[in-house]
Amino acid sequence: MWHDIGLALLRIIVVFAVALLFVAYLTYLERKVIGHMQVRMGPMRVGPHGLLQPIADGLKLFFKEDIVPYESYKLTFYFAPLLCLVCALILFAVVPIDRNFMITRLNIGLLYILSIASVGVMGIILAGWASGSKYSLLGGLRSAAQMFSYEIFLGFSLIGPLMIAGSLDLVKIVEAQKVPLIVYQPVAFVIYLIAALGEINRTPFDLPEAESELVAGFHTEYSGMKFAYFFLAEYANLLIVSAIATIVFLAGWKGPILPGWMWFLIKMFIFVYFFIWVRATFPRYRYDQFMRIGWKIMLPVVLANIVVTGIVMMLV
Amino acid sequence: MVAKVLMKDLLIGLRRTFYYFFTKPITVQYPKEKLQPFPRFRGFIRLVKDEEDKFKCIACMQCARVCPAQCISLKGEGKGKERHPVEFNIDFSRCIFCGFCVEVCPVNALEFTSFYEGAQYDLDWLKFDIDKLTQDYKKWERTFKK
Repeated sequence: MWHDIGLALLRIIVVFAVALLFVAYLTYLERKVIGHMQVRMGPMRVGPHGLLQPIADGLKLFFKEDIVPYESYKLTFYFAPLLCLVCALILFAVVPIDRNFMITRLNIGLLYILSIASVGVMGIILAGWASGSKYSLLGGLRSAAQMFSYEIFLGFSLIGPLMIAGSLDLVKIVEAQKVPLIVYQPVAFVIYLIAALGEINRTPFDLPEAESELVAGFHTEYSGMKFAYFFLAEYANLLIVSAIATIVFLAGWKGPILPGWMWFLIKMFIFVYFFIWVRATFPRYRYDQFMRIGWKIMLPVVLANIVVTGIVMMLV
Repeated sequence: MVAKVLMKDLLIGLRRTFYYFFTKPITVQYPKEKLQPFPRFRGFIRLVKDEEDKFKCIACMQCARVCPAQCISLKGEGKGKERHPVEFNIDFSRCIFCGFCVEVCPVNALEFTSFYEGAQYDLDWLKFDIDKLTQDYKKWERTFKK
């Protein structure tokens, strides 16, 4: 028994250390990639090619004064960023990096990820409400509408692949894929990517924190370490979304020659790169456009996708 | 309709940014590398000496008179061909680099250098006297790249 606990602890430490490192350096990657896409260089001064920039940023946020607005609801104000971060980080628990390397294997892994992710949304809404500021409140309300509706498309876009894979267990989903599911489910894949962008508040759909409209949206009043929690949660969610896309659509760790975990990371970082790429390219959608895309285009398409998948599966 | 379904416009945008991702950044890493200013760049002003290490300046005071910021003050000595400056001050904290003094000088005794890094902690550093004005400015310029 102790042996099992020790092994589990070791796995948790390894996965979380690596995950937090990735999350920290994702900020660096993002700044670099966007910089080069804008024919700039991005961070260059702290360390060689700015490699120590995330650490410097982290230290700065850590030692910053912790400001709590007078009008805020104190307990909720403290609790919201933690909820956000914890919900983002515990998602890593079920992600299979290799056939045998994951913290725990749940037979409802995908459902677990979707449900915990929707609890994480509460953190943003709470933050917006507890700040006692109109910008935060508007950001929170927007994120409520946005994330709850885009969760639906995110979930529905995964149903098609799930019907083919026949399981919610992430390991079984990967093992069921002789050919990556993107070949059978291109429509679901595209819808998943769009819905994921909406779900993690990234740029074409970053309405909850729209700088030009809402200052910074739900984290207007946050600074220092509490802001860092939101920041980390956002990037952790980015990693998770990329990981799910890898597992469900690109056959996870499967691939020739290289070891499994390496394939997993390569595929995951293709998605991460794509999300950064999209951020460097598109401006923000208007709020009504955003909702129209969701409810009038994506929902019918994704439902049709499920129906067609079902019919084809019945016939074949 | 087909173009809209395939999100053609969005893909064109993505291709554009992807193209620029592989172009070379145009950033100049300023303190490390610097651009060579253009030949007629108006940098700090220098007092020129001729081959025999004598001042070309004849202390005619035209530069001091034409200077709109009134930052030049000088004193001359001697008569006729022997006339030369003994004091020559340019206050670069007031100089506006208009180039009137260089233009007005009848003997081309003033010239522009390409030195432009005049941001200093010490204001007195910018008050150039006759020795400082005749120095070779190259010694403050770090090596130029590009």
